[in-house]
Amino acid sequence: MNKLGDGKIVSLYWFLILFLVAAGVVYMVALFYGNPYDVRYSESRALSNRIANCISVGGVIEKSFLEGEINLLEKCNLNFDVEESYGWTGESEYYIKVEIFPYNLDTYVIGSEITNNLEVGNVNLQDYCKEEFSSSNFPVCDERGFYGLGDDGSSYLVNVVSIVRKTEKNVQ
Amino acid sequence: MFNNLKVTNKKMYNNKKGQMGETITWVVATIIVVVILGISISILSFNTDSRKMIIPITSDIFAVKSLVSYLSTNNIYNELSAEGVEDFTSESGTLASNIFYGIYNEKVSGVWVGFFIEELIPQKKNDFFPKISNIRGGDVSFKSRYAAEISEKIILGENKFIEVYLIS
Repeated sequence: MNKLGDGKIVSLYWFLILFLVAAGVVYMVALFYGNPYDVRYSESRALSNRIANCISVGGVIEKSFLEGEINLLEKCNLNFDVEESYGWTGESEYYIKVEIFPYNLDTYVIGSEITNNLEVGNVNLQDYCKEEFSSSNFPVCDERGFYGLGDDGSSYLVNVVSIVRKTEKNVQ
Repeated sequence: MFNNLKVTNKKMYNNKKGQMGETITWVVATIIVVVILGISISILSFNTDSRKMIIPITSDIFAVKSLVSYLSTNNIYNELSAEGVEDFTSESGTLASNIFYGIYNEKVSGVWVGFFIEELIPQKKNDFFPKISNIRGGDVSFKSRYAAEISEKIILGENKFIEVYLIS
């Protein structure tokens, strides 16, 4: 009689431990995979690379970028379409700005920006390139520059700023 | 009769001892399971940040563009690729230094541009870009802290390259 009772208690105990371990594993998996991947850094770099490839080919800056106002999205075959979630609109999640400065090779002095109004997207995001917004809770900024030549051999420094917001999807 | 009673008592005592030992084993086993689970869960809970996609960056298209434009400036490519030339001239070196330091100096911790002549004896010092101690000749491995993070090179001739290293 006693032995039978002992067996029942041990079985119950085993089930309890089994449940405890299974619940723990499920909870840990949910905890780990419940957090989203933050791909915004890669996304902003890819965006900058795309813009840089569009501006300069073989080391020469395309003339239209130096001459007049152009539509960056059309010129570089980009669109800001985003998923229809979180109340996003394409314009609100991205910002791109291209700054082109003449570079004097005799004095090595950078001239004032050629104003072509080369920017597109949500202008309010441009503050997020500052150091104080480097935490993952803020939009991600990629700011890089390169040296390029004009058609006539003149030198320029090009600065490309790409910012991706999409905080709701990439940060928990 | 007393003897029999003594034997029975002794058996009961031994049984109780055995039962207690078994109970202690189960209790200890339970505690170990709970503690291991607790540790695992708390380690995971500490990592509250989102999982960042860390893609090793060993190449930078902006650095390539700068290097190509630099070589196209004032015919520098022809000058540097000529046979026997193994270092910058005063003009080409000053221009390289101004361009690459100007663009990258504030963004990375180390910038080096120079020639890579022989694979086994990399020339890692020139008058315009001082040697950076943790560059390993021509090798880029993100895992090693003694390697360049970004390296781009353009062929100037047989076994002769011009290279840019950006170290963060």
